[in-house]
Amino acid sequence: MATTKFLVVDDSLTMRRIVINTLKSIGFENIIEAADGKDAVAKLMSEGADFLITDWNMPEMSGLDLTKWVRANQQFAEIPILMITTRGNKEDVIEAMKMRVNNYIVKPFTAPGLKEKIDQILKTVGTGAA
Amino acid sequence: MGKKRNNGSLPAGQGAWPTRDSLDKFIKVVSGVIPLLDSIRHSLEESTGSIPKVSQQLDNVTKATESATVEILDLLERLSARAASLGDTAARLRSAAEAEASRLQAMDGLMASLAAARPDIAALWREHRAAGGGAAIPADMEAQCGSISADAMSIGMALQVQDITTQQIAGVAHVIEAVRMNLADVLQSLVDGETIPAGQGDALPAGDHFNAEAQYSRSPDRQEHTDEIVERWKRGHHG
Repeated sequence: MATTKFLVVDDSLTMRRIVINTLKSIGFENIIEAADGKDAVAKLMSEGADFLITDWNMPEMSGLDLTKWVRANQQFAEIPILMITTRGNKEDVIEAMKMRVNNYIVKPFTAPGLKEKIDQILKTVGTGAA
Repeated sequence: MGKKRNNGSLPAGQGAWPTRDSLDKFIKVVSGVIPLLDSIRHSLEESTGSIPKVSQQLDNVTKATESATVEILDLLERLSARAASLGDTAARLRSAAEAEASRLQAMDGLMASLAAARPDIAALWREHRAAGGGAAIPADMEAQCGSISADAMSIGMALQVQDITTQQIAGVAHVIEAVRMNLADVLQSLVDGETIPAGQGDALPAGDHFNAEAQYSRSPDRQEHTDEIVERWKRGHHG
């Protein structure tokens, strides 16, 4: 579990730092980052990742469009995706779930909250359940 | 043309021709409107000119707060690293003190057996034991270092406010840009004398790289509500 490679995607440098610091504090060290969806696609193609944590609102390519791309791409289709965003409306959550994100966190997030969601997803992915 | 009456108006049933008086009044009104329109045009030009400066200032605010926030995060990382290092040292001291305590207990037994023969040594030993700090002080240090790391982490998490306020500011900037574009259209129509139909001016760039409704709230309610939606969705789509 601790060797899981995370790709953290957010156009805010502050948020990327906070997410990365939180991941490190809960034992994950293998982390790369991208500043928007387009950059994330490039990083996936060149460096790969086992787990995607992405914001929604980003220039160039939104987190939702990134999710759509990942799910449509055979090579990365099964990568777990956790959306971390300020968008907390019911419609937004459902839209993201329709795109097959694995779970959804509303900013500002907490470290225990992030750990809980990651553990749930890794456990689910490990058993092969959807 | 009808016969002119004494009061200057035409007989009933015939259209009224403008009199010299009414023409003078009309010219006066138009003459007054032209400088007014000019003044409006000048104000619009000033406004559309100063709006980009406001947008730039908002952008500067965003960049400055991001820069400061990243600096704070750097400091917090260093603080956490130092607290962790100090905590490790305190843990080693505590372990050493605990091992020492075991040896001292063994010595207690030995000293007790000497007490009758050498009460002076037994007294010195009791004094020595009373002065010892044991493992309590390093254990306390270890706990304090843990608290410092936890507080540094909490400060870091609270700095998410910078991202959220950046999005709110971006929303405001977007509205300002929309106003500027509308004003520019109005100004253009004053200059050209043609009205630009609604929706046919330059398009406002899409505002999908921010969420103007972003909120900073530490209440767990929002996440709990989101979790309920996710759970209901999963139950509904996976049997």
